[in-house]
Amino acid sequence: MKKQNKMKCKEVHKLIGPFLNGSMDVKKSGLFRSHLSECRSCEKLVGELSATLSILDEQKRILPDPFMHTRIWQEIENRQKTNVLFSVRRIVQPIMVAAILIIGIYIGIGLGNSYVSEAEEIASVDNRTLVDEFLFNEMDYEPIEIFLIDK
Amino acid sequence: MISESNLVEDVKRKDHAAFKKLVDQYQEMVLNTCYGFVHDIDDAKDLTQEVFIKIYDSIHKFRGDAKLSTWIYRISVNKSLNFIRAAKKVKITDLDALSNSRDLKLRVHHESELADIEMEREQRSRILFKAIDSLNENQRIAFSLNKLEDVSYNEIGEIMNISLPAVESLIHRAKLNLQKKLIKYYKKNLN
Repeated sequence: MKKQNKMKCKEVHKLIGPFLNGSMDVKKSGLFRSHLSECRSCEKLVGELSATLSILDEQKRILPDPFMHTRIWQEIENRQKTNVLFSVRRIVQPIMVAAILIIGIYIGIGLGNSYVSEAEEIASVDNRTLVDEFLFNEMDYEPIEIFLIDK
Repeated sequence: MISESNLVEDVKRKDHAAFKKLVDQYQEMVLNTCYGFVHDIDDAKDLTQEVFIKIYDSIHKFRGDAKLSTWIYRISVNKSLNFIRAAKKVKITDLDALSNSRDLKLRVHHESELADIEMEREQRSRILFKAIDSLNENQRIAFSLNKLEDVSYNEIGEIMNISLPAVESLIHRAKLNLQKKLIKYYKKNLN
């Protein structure tokens, strides 16, 4: 009969919560304490758990930082400045890119045009020389008598 | 003393003095709420700064349906959770992972060598916070606000947009899960 009234370690582990909360009835609480007085490992476990959970009740409050407002205000001002710069950059950047592109295209077209007109000039000079020297002066190299002799 | 609605209206007009009053009034609340989630003072201070900048930028969205503190709590919780997600601060979902830490294991096993009570307390805090961090997100928010910040169940419901019974259930389950996790951890590491 006595043995049946004793609590086992497993049962103690299940009842640690109600025991620590104080929600256990007097009879069970007596059995629980009796087990702890005999079982070193359960006593240690309950002690450790109780000490750990008690930290929640005695949790230290962190005191306010007297310079917090200054830090926050500084950060807000910095962000506002950055935002203004960012907005200006957002407007100026595409304009600059567009301007560079237009200038680039304009220079490209200009260079392209000047290159073509030079080539044409060279070609026209060469053609003149060819026409003068070879096409209209073929008679110098192949006289008409040679054709007559062949026939 | 200036009323809450007047303070809000003044901040909406970007009044510097009103904003300073708002920071002075709510700084401790925001700082401790953030600390309850990130468990690091420097991170909590940085987050507090972010929270007040967010308040300053979006105060025009505050319509006064809820209390100002509720709105500020919500911003603080969201900022803290985003910080944790981004920094992947909470990688340990199982407390067992803590026992892999040689440092902690040694401290638990050689308890007698710990002369410094403060060190012991700090170690227990680390174990406790790891256990809280490993709770599911909703349980964790409700539990942290109630236990660490002493926020009422009603206000937690407003912050989280859930009913009062849902808050009660979340906190109850959080307590049970926390105890289970700690018992499991200590059973493994004390013997």
